[in-house]
Amino acid sequence: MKEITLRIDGGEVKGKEGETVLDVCLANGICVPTLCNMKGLTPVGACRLCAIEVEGENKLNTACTYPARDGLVVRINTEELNNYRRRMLEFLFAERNHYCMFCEKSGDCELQSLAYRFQLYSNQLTMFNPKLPVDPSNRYFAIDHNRCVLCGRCIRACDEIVGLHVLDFSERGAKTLVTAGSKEPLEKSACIGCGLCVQVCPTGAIFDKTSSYKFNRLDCQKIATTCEECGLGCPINIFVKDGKPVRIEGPDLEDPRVQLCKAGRFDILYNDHRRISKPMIRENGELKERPMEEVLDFIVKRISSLKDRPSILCLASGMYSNDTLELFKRFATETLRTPHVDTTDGYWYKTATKSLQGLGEDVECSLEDISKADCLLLIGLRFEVQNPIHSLIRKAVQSNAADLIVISSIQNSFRDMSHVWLKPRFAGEDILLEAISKAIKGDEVDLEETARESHEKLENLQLVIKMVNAAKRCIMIYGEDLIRLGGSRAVASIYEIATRKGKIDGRIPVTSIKPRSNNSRAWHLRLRSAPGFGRLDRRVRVAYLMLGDEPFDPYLITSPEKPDLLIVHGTYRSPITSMAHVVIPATTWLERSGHYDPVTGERRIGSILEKPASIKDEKTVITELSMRLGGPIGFATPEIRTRGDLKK
Amino acid sequence: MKISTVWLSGCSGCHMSILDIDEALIDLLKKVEVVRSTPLLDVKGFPPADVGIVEGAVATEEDVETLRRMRDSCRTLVALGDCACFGGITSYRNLFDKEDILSRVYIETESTIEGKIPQSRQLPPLLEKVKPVNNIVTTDCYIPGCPPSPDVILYTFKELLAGRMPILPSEMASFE
Repeated sequence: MKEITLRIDGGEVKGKEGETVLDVCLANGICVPTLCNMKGLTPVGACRLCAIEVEGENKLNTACTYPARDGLVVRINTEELNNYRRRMLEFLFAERNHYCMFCEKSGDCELQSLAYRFQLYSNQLTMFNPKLPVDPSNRYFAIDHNRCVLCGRCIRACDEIVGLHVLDFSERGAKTLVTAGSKEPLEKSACIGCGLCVQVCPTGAIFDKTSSYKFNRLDCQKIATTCEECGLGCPINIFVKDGKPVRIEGPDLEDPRVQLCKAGRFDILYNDHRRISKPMIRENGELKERPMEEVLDFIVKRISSLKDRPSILCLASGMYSNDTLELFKRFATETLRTPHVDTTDGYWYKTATKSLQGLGEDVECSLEDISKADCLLLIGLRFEVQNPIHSLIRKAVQSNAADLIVISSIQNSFRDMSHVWLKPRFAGEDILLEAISKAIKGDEVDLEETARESHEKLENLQLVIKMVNAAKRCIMIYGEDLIRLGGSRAVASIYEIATRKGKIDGRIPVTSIKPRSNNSRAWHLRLRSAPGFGRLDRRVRVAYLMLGDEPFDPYLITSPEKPDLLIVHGTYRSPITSMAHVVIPATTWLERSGHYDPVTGERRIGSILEKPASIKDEKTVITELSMRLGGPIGFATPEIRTRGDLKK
Repeated sequence: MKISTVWLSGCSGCHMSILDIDEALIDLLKKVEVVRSTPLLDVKGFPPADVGIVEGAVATEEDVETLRRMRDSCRTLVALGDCACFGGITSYRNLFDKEDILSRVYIETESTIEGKIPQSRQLPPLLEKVKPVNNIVTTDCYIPGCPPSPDVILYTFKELLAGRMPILPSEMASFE
C-alpha cells in the first residue's frame, strides 16, 4: 500500500493510503477524542467529537470518516476545536437525563470520562429533561433511553457483526430512540438476546441486569478463556471479582470470527441450579450426606459384589477435558472391564462415525472455511444458541455471493437471509436429504414423489440440487437438531453428498456443530458403547455416570425402571441425581482445566475459579476408586495428549 | 476574605463537606470571615461578601430570589456540588409533572390519611422545572461532586485566597 505523509497539528506523520485520518492518528499515537467510533464497526461520524479542521475546507470534518491523503494539513488539538468538543458534550448531556450517581456505568463510562477530560463542570445549555421510557423486557439486559447518546454502536454491531439488524433508530431529531423491530419491546422483537449491544454501549444505556450496580469493570480480574457451553468453543473474557464471575464479554470486534450468544454471555452468570457440595448415599429412599471415604467404600463393596461386570454402563459428559475422558475410559475398560463406555450424547457421533468410515479421513471444515464457501447448506442449526457462525455465514453471502440453503422443518432464524428454505413436513429432513444426495450422485430418483412425500415444492427441490451441483466450495453445516429431527438417515445422506462433492483443501466439506465442548475428542478417543447402549434403558442394571455440570438431557432416561445401582458425578441437582443411589459432587467447567478440542480448534484451557474445598475433582475420585477396586490406574496419568499423539 | 454561603434546594451535604475539612478549618477561619451561612449562622439579609458559595439547585421562587440577592451581594459566585452545577438529585423531579409530584408526596404516600397539598401563601411556590444555578445568574466557578470531597473544597478555598479562580484538575473532579 502506498505511503502518504500528512501534517497534523504542525507535525509530519506517515500513514497508508485508504486509511482515515483517525487511523493515521491512532497509529502515530496522536490522541483524538471519540465516542461513537469503535474498532470493527463502520465509522459514521455521529458524535462529532473527533472534529478536525482540514486546510482548504470551510467546514469541520470528522476524523473517523475523513480519508487521509498525501499532503493533507489537519488541525486536531487546538483550543478552538476543544471548545467545540466541549460544546458537543454539553449538547449530549443536555439532551437526555445523565445522572452519573445513579448510573450503572459510572466509572466505566466513556461519556463520563470525556466529561472529566474536558472539565465539563457546568452546562451552559438548558437541560432538556425529556420523559423517556426504559425497556426492561429482555430477561438479561435493559435499555434505558435516558442514558443513550445515539452513537449507534449497538445498531451497527447488531447489523454488521451479529447480522440481525433488530435495533435501529426510530423517530427523528431530539425524539430519536434506539428501538427493536417496529417499536416493539425487546422481548417481543426478533432479538436473540446475544447481548453484543451491552458490550459495545459506551454509556449506561444498555446494561446487563445481573452485573449492574455491583462492581466496576476496572476492579475485576479479566480472564480470557474458551467458552464450553457448546461445541463451538468461542473466545470469552470473564470478569471475576471475589472468586465469582460477574460479567462476560466476547472478543474485541476486530475479530468478528465468533461473537458470543446468550448462553455464553449470560447463562453462566444466571446459574440458579442447586449445587451439590457433599457426597451422598441413598438410604431408605432418601439421599443422605456421608463422608467421601464411606461413599468410596460403599461403591467398592457394591461393584465387587457384582457377578456380571460387562453390563455396567459408563457415560461421561462431553464437557470434560481430554485427560479426564481418557482416564475415564481406562477406568471403565481396565478397572470395571465393561465395553460400554461412551459420552452422554454418544448418539451424536454414532451416526456420523458410520458415515465417515467411507471417507477415510475425519477432519471437517473449520469455521474459517465457512466464510470462503460459495454455497452453504444449513441443516438443523439453532441460531439462538449458535449465532457466532451467523456472522461467518453472512460474510460468505456478502463477499462470495454464496447461495444459502436452509433445510429445516421447524422455525429457523436463518430463514430471512436464506435464498431457499426447504421446509418439509415435521421431521421430514431425511427424505429431502436422501433425494438430494441421490440426485447429486446421479442415481435415479423420483423428485416428484419426494416432493409429494415431504410436502415441499418440486421447483425448490430442483433449484437446490442445481445450486449444490454448480457449487465449487459447498459446505454443509449441521447441528444437533438434525439428529433429533432427521435421524441417522439424514446424517448419512449429508456425508454421502460430501463424498460426492469431494474435499475442500483436504477437509470434508461438512462442519458439525456438536452439543458439547469436547465431543470431537471423545470421538477420537473411541469412547463408543456397543450398539443400543448409551442411555439408561431397561437393560442397564448398573450405571456409572460422570455428568459434571452438563445440562440435564431427558434423552438419557428411556425407561421408567431404575437401575439396581446408579452412581452419578453431578455438579447440580437434576432428575438424574434424584434417581441415583450414590451422588459424588463434581466441578463446573469454570473450575476445571485441561486440553479441549472444540470446533474453533484444539487448546489448553485453564481453570478460572477455585473449586469449593469440599469437592474433590473427578480425576482424583476416579483414580482413588480405581485403586481400591484393584485397577491398573496409578496416580501418574498422562496429562497431555494431543491429536498428533493419538495418531501415533 | 468575607464569605457568604447559602443553601438552596439541596440536602446541606455540601455544607457538611465544608465542615469536614476538619483541622484545616482552624487555619482557614483565621483568613476568612463567614458573614452569612444558611445552615450555620442565623444572619438575616445578604451582607456584602467577596465570595458567595451556593449549594443546591433552584426549585422554588424563593430560591430564585435568594440566588439573585446572593449574586448582587457577592463579588465571586461559586456553585458547590452537583445540584448547583447541573441540577443533581433535586432535578430528578423534572422527569415528572409538578402536580404529580405534589400529589404523590402529600396525598398518595402510603403513610398518609386524608392528605392535602399545602396551599399556604407563606410557602414559596415550586418552579415548573428545577434548574442549576447558572440558568438564573452568572456563575463564576463550578465545583461538582455529590458532595465535593473536603480536599476539593480546601483546594477551592486556597485558590480563592490566592486570588485565582479555581478550576478543578480532572483527577480531582467527581460526578458521583
